[in-house]
Amino acid sequence: MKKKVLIIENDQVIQEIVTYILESEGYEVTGVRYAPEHLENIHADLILLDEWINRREGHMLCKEIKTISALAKVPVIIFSTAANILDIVATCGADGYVQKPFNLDILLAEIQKFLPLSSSYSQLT
Amino acid sequence: MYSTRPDEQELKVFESLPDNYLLLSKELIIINASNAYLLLIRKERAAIAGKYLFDIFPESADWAPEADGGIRQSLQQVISTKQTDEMPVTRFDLPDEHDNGNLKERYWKTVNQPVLDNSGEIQYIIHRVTEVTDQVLRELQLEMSLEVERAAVQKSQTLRLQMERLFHDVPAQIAMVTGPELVFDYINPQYQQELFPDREILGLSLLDALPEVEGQPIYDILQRVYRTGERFIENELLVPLASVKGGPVTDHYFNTVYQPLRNEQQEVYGVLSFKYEVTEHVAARKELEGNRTQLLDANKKLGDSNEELQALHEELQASNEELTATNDQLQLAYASLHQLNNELEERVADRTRQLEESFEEQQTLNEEISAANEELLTANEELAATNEELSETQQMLKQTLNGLAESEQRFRNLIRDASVGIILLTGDDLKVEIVNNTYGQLIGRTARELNGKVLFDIIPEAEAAFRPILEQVRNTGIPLYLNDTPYTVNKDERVISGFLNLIYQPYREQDGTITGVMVLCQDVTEQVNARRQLEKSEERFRFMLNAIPQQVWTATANGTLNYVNQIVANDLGHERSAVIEQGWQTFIHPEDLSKYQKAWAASLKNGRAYQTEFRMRMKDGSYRWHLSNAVPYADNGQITLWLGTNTDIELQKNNEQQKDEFLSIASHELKTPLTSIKAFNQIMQRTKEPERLVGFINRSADQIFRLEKLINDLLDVTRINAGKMIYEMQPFNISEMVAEAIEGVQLKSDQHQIILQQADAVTFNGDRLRLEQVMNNFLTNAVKYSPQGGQILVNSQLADESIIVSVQDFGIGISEHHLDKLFDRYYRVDNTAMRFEGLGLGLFISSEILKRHGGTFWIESTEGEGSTFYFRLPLAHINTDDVIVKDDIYYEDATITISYNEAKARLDVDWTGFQDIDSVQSGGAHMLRMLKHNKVEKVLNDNTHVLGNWSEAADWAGKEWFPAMEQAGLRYFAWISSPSAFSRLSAEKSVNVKEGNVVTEFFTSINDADEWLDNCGS
Repeated sequence: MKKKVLIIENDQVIQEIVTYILESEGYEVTGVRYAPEHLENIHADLILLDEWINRREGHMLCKEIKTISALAKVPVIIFSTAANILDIVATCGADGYVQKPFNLDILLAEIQKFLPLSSSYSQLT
Repeated sequence: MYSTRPDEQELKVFESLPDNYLLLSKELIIINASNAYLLLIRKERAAIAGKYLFDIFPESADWAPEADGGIRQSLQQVISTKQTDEMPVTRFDLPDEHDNGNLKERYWKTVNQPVLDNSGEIQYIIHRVTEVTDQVLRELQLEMSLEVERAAVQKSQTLRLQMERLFHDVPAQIAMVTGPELVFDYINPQYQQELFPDREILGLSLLDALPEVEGQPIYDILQRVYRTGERFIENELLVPLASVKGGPVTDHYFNTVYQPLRNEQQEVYGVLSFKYEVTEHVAARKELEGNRTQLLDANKKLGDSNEELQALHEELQASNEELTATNDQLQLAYASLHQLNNELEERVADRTRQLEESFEEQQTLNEEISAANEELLTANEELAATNEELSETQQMLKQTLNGLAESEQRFRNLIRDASVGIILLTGDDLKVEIVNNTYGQLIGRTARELNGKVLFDIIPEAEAAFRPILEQVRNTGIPLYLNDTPYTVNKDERVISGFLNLIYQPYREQDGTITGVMVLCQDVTEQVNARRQLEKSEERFRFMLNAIPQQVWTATANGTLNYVNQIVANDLGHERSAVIEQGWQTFIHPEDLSKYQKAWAASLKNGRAYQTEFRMRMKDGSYRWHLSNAVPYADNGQITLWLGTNTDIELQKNNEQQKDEFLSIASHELKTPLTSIKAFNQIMQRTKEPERLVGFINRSADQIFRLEKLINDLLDVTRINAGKMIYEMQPFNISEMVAEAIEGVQLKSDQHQIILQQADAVTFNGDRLRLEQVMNNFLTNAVKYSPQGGQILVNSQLADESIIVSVQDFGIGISEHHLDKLFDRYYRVDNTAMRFEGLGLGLFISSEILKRHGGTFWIESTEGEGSTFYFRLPLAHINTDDVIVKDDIYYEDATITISYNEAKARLDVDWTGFQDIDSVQSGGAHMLRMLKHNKVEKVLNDNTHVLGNWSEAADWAGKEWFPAMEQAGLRYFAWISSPSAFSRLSAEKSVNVKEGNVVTEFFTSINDADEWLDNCGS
């Protein structure tokens, strides 16, 4: 069974391209521009979270996610252009980060840290 | 009877006697006269012989005391008693042949001696007249000089008393030390009280009295003056002193003169110390005096002391001369007395010899003359005794005088050397009786120039100011003390002016009558000037601090706030004294307090400049960022004051924050397309499906285009902020421009349906490309805010001499709170600030472009239902010809209707349509006029029909119009809000910045407003 990745990314193009990449690697990917109204409805094995989303900032969202028992164990990776990304990660209890613009290998390595691929199948590599 | 006549021989002898003899019968018939007598009375012997005495001398008028000078009485006494009678010395003036025969003052001693015959009857009377003019005149002279001396002695004593009193009052410390041990011989009360209030020092040697001075320069200086006899003058001399023997020593400063005291032999026997304390002034002066002044001063003082020395020398010489002259006179008097004595002795010897010769032959006469001779001897002895007595008296007098002179000299020295000016003025004309050089210098003269003169003959320009004071003191006998009194006198072409501390002391004679005024003048010009300068500079300092348009404060060395300027009080809304009492901590934001305390404590500890930032609670309760700075003010390395400022940096802080925000957003916005581009490139490098490459390349190109646009926007923002945005104004058709913009956006977003509902053909003069940029921005926003797609409605229509363009979407909408924030971003905060957030740079650029075209923009939005973005461009100004009715109770034009509501005693105002600064100012002016005319204090201001945004007039309404209305009587202002968000926000903004006390309330319905107004006031 494929691992589920939820991408919360405000920028449509980035969302699409990351979805394409991760699907190519064999993940099941859901991409949204805004966080769902009810976080409890999230069903994912990993969340890739843009820091710069409109109504709630990424690190605030991360904190909220971590307070929900069902989601507390789901790794959250902060995905941001911010220069102070390490500070953000430290304050919101995120599990990892990927700096934008990103290097493809680093993005994949960061995700595989939490979701090792069951097979060596990869469209890209 | 004839037989009683002496014979010829006898008479010849008689005639040749050298003195003035007259031989009378007892009937007072002149028998004979000596040649000397005839010579004296300038008559021939024949003219008087055989004549009755009083027939010869009828002119006896001057023969005091009686008509004949007592001669008749004396002769009668001789006849009756048969005893010799000696008459008192008589003045009888005789013509002086050396002086054209004028009468010359002469004195005579007359003796009438009877010559008895054997029967004891009177045979003759020998009348002898001896001239004693010389003796008498000498005696008179001596007596007169004695009188003069006595008067002088008396005066000396009076003077000494005066001096003593004066030295009690001199605002200076005077002491006299004598002998090599420098024993305190005299101190005035000031010396005692001000320097040694609890110590007995009179009669003690300097070292016994003041052990603390040993080894101090002061002791060496005194010793040197005593040893060398050189005068010592020093201003601001440092003397460490203890007020109690052995007590703690403090620094005192004195202006000091040490004057050697000399005895008659010119040997130094002591030192006179004259000083006054200037400790208080020294600090002030030191602060103010530059090096140059000090140098000049030193030079001047050197000159002054030279002058003083010169004057002193002259004085000494003069008094020496005087002394010598007096001595000479006395010696002369003594010598002439001596000579007189000798002469008398000689004459007696001569006469004896003559008598011896003649009396050998003439026994009887001889005996008689012998008797006369004895008398003469006696008289001579008496005279000698008198001489001796006189001489003795004179000697005594001289001694007394010397003693007194010494005592007086001491005080004369004190006066002469005093560093305060002293002058004694006597008589109605205020003649200078005594004056010292210090006084002279004050008015640019020497003591010699002033002595004996009428003071106001020399300085008439000072008469008006000082004569009344002098007369008052002389008339009332009450001493007067005047401090810091200004004076001005002229000396040649020069004007001398300064300030004096003056003591006026009535000058009394022995009997208590006031004959003059003694004045003591202490020159306090430097001190007064220094103080005034200090006061002035302090005043200037305070004035300056108050004039500085920011918060200024001072604190003591230990950090206690002790001054704040008026700006502080105004900013914080508390009295200055209240702020000083509470200190900054009361006003600093609790979060910033510890940072402030640490910074302030550190500066107080290390004495280095202090700087920190904190938020301060202002008058209205809001906190504003301030930069607090202070520098220490040090005096002699000792910090005496901290001078600080608090600068409002709220704007800078906001700008800084916004700049940070801007950079952060810009960075994010730039990195976002870059992220996509980079990702596409990496995928393309690795893809195993070449047929997908074209899609990746196209998508990558889109992102490059997006990046390019973003960079252009950022450049625009930079241009706007630098004021370098260039506009090319040309007439163009707005509807065409709108249509083209819609076409461009529609091409890129196929999910939306952009519908142009109305497009009035209007030609507008403006920059077409820039306005198209605005249109693009509005359209892309609409697309962005309706992510689910759907319709976007566009209208461009003419209304009220303007073109209004609207873009409506049915997307997520904007919350009211967010709308307020947007309004603030674009209209409330300073225009120079950078601002943009979620809506991106586009709206900011659009608002700037619209402003440059005289237009405005506003947004109406309901969350969840969508938003409408408007912009309005004016085609022309409002035409005042549209006024419908205009009088004092009713006014109406295109934008406003004002009516006087008599029943409610208020103005009812209804604003209509779009408002801009012109319409708001025009309407406001009519309201003001009608409010004044109808004398009402309430306004019902209805904005229900207002559209759009008039934020550019909000500042004017709040800061100028409301105060003017209040002045005209406005008290209560009910404001019915516009349904248009940006119009309502404009109204709120004007009330937020409003000055004055007009009570303003916002309402959403006319009824509520009406009710509120009814309950206001009366």
